[in-house]
Amino acid sequence: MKYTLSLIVENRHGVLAKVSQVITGRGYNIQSLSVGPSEHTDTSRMIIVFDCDERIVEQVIKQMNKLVDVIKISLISCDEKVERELLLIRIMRKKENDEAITRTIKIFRGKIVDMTPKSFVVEVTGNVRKIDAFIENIRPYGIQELMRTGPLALPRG
Amino acid sequence: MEKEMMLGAEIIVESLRREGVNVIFGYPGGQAIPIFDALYAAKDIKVILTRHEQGAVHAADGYARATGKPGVCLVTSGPGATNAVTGLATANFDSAPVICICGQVPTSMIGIDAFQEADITGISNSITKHNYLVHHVSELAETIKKSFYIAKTGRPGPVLIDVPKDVSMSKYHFDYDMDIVLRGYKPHIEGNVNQFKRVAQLIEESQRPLMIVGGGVILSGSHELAREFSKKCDIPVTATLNGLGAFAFDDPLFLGMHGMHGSIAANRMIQEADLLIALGSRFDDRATGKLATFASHAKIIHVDVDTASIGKNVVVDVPVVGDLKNVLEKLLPLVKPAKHTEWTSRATELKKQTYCIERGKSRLTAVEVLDACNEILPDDSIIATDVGQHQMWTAIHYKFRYPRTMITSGGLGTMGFGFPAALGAQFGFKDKVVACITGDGSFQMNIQELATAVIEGLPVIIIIMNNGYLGMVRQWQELFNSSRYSSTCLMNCPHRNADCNKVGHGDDCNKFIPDFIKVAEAYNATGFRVTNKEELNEALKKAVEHRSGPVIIDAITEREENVWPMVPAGASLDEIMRGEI
Repeated sequence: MKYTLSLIVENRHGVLAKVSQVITGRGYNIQSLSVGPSEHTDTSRMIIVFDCDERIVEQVIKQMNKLVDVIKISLISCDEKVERELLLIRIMRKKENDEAITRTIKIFRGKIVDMTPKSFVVEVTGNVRKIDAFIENIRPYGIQELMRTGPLALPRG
Repeated sequence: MEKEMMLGAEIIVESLRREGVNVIFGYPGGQAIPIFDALYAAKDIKVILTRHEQGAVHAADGYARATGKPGVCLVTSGPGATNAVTGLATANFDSAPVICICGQVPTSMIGIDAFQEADITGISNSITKHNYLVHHVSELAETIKKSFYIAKTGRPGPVLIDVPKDVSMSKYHFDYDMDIVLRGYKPHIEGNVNQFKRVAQLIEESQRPLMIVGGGVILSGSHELAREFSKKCDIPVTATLNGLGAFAFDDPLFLGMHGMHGSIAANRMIQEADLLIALGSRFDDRATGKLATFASHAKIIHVDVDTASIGKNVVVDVPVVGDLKNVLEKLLPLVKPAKHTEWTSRATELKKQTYCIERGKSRLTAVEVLDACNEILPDDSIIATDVGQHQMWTAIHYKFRYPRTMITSGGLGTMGFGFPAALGAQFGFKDKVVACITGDGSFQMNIQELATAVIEGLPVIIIIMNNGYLGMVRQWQELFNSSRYSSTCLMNCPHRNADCNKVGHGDDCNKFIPDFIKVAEAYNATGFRVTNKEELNEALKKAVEHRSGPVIIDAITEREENVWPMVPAGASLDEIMRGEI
């Protein structure tokens, strides 16, 4: 099952390695991990999405909580969070597809941020499912490369 | 007033002094030279030069386990630090408060593959409680203060401090009076009062309660409380390997160790109990056997200071997170005195059950060696062991009476731990008898520390159960691999890995290598080879009297004696093999 963890950690050397090792050391794969400054300059917020067995997730949280540099940790469930992911994607241009591509971008409220005769670079933000759906819709036209940030998330309310 | 400027290395030494450190186990190297230089001037802190960094960490660990105070070791960068890794992992597994200071290449050279550079903070992440890379001399004192606090509070453990050479060579003013703030580290000490009531109620309702004492009871200094608790409520007790000594072997309610080589009574009582009260234990797989059938009739109360230990392996009915001393002090008045006559007489009955104990064979047996230890070593001796058959025989047959008298690598199972750990323990208690019960395999893993013992005049008694095998693996091969003794015979024999039954046992089966008595001589230590009980008793008596340096007793024992009783790996605690009786 897929889990999203939100952590507030000390903004210092080695924290990222320590946190990620709790998951990788148990043989699980991290799907996405975003880290950046939080509202305080000396702490960072991490959002980690990973797959693991249900019986392991509690242990992962407890072990992360034991880390001296982890100040706060919470498991974010689907319905309690606001979630956004950013996608940058380079799509192949062919004259006959231009209209369909721009229509799809519009539907997903994406933006063309770069354009050459051979390609578009498009940004799309939204929750993970929306990004998945956009990629699937655009795939037939030819994806040259893409990069996803992994979700950022905050609890609602 | 302007504060005095000090070199980083001097700040380290002064900080250690403030922490009450008077001994450091270490091994120098290029990047640690400034720190050793500062120690050269510090006459109140003794530096014990070991002969390998692994020995230094184990010695610091042994010192910590025997005294309860943090043990400190100091190593250099690169290979010095990586040699410390096994020691750190050992200390981490068994919750020993160890401070390991490593030299590191100068900050400007980190990451350029400099000579003797290793990313030791990266390497040690999962085998330390915490680690620090000190970037600037201004952080040094505070980092050391934090490290000691982290190492000894909550569930204790090793903390590594990586100090680049330029940090130990720059100057800064010394201050050790700062308040330390660790926002992410707040050990749960108190325990939840509502849980106490539930615990008391479950104990009152139970007809067949059983207490498990783990290493946490010893670490928290709550053995007296645990003894009082068991007596008040008439609750039989079993110990984990690292819980041995929390209860005296002859306490009427004590059943011995449980688990793979646990006593029949302890394992049976776990399976028959209706309530388990686990104090400071972590339900290791060697202790529980097959989890699905472990204590299947029992509700489980689990008290531990480490939240992550609770509910990790077994499903717990009442978790109590807190320091055991605190929790037991509050619980004791809440529980009512009780008698469980039927249940305790079941224990008495089970204690009579027999299993294979070998005595009177053509060679000495391990059990006879332990008989002699029980008879001759003083009651308050500290016993360190290595890992393998001798460790389990010691756990089963040695008569432990006091906490902190059994020093053994329980979690990681590190061969080579015992001897250097015994040196550390001896340094903590100069006047006590410290014995390292070991095997011919394990002892060779840190045999070089004989030099340390001789030079420092540490009178550790090394009792080698010498059967010419890596005995525990050989036992498994006998029981589960049709006696195919692959790479377990240690004799100086040309037929390595041959089927000895086909080749025939011959003179080669008696060619011990090395000759431990000659090794003792080479190191200027005392050595006795013993082949029968009389020689063994005499040697042990001499060893106890000999206080000027280490004594090796090379006890030539039965080659293929097995440890009984035994629950095979992965089997239920019900499936006890007793050996041929």
